[in-house]
Amino acid sequence: MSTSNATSTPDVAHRPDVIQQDERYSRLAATRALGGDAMGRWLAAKIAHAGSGLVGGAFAIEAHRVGSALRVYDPETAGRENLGTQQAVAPGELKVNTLLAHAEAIEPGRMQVAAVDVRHVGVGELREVDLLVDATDDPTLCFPLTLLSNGLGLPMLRLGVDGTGTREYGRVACSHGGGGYACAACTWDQASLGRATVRTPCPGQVQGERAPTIAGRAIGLTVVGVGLLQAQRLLGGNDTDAVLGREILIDLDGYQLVPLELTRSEACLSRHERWELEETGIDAREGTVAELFDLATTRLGTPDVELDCWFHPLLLECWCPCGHQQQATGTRWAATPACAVCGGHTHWTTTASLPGFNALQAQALGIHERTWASLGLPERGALITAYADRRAPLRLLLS
Amino acid sequence: METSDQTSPQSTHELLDLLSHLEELSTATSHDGAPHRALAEEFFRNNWEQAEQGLLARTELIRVEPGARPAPRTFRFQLAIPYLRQPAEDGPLERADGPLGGTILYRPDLMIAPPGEPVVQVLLDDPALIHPNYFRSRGIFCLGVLPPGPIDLEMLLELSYMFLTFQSYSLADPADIEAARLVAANPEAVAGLGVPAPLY
Repeated sequence: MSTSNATSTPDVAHRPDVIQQDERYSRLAATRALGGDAMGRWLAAKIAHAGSGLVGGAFAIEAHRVGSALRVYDPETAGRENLGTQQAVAPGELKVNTLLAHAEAIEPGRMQVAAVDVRHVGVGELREVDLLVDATDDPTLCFPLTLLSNGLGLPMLRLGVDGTGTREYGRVACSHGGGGYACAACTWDQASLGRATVRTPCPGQVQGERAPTIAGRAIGLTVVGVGLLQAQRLLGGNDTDAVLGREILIDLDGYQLVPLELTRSEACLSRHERWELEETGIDAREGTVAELFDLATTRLGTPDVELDCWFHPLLLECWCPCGHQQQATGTRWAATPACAVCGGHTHWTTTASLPGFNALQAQALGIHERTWASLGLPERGALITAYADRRAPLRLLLS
Repeated sequence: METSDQTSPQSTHELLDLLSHLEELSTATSHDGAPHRALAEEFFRNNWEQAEQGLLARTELIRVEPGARPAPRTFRFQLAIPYLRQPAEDGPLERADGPLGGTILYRPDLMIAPPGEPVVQVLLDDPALIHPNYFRSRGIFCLGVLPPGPIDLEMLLELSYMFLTFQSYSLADPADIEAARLVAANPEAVAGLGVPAPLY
């Protein structure tokens, strides 16, 4: 993760041309949302933010401008088509890098960015924040991020616009199943989970294109405005009732803001489970698969343990456009080996995979002595759940 | 990040052997506390029950052997159909009487898979099979861009049957351009397969 580490020395702090924090935010601190002690809580809070497109990029900049400490995750590179709708983008450049440059010009040293899919961010890193913001416009992320938000007991704001280009429509929803409120999955059934997935591409396609967001900046900024206010209310603590268990629909066609109350479902697909995380002290770059099996066996009191890497199923094969297929083991974030026939770049076969594996399977795959990082797990804070029959799952964090 | 150094050539059959071996080594483990896995297992359980009691109970033309029950996600199948094959490169097309074997693999994390990645794959056993939608080099049969959501086994089998009996197939965007050319240039070979029997 790249970050600026600019600091203020006492000399600099007293220069008249240097803006002090209390000056910068003096008017903001007089608002209802951030009045009293709320401003201090807001400034101390950390936000993990996924997506830096039409909504996400603008939210990140505006939240940064008003003192929020953000970690922004987005692997995408900007295109020319983004120039007309998105803030802080440069064609051909990683969106987060341009975003960081803009943020540094506003106030240096506070925003952190990483050009990575939020699926590949360690849970140990995400649990350090106070709020998750999902501005990815990726429906397949909703359920897993909801499980994560519930599990960590973190509220999540989901910001989105109607991306069809037919309506000026958006929403800001608060999901907080781990805090006793409705979560994003409370209204879902299994069929809606299926509908959130996208079309399966033809074989041979490595990555399908997601439909672009066809929406203008007006609706985007309106959603950002509402989202920012909700974040301030939530983290400042002055008006949390206006946020928790709420979804705000924004309809610029009908000029309406519609606050909906979300009902918590006790039969929610997510089960609203809170996670108890256990530190392992094992470094993903050095610790091996065998080492974690040993630790899980000791803590669970049985050798019949299955390990499941959060969001990182183990893939078993890769293929080359030359037609050759070969065995390899790693997650989709691990580099694939070169083709044994032509030396070309290979791709993972995503259908040949294991959701979890036991020690015998690890030995059969020859990964027992491999490090977790070499298998493509996040280098910091990866979550691996150990399952055993008739025992509560053990959620293990790599350091 | 290191890469795997296991680069021994692996055919489709070897992959299936590996999956089968891994399945043998698996132990029944409860996944309480993993809603996404429980939901996927529920889908796989219903998927098999629905196919077994539905399509497979009605047709004699498709036989399926599921992987580990009760929630299988690997299926070996046989279609009792004649098909076209080309045993020798540049050789003539032949009519094979069948049956044609294959495997359907479902991705276990299909409920939360990242967008754009295939969640299901249909593999066919005969590398000499000639069909415009069959990747001979990889043994994969292409059913087109499938609609969103987990695709049930019944639908995959029906689509495969329809495509492989040439009741519906695509020449416009073929998986195997040479196979598409052969099929287009040899309509009599396709006609020689006869009129497809109704599934049920």
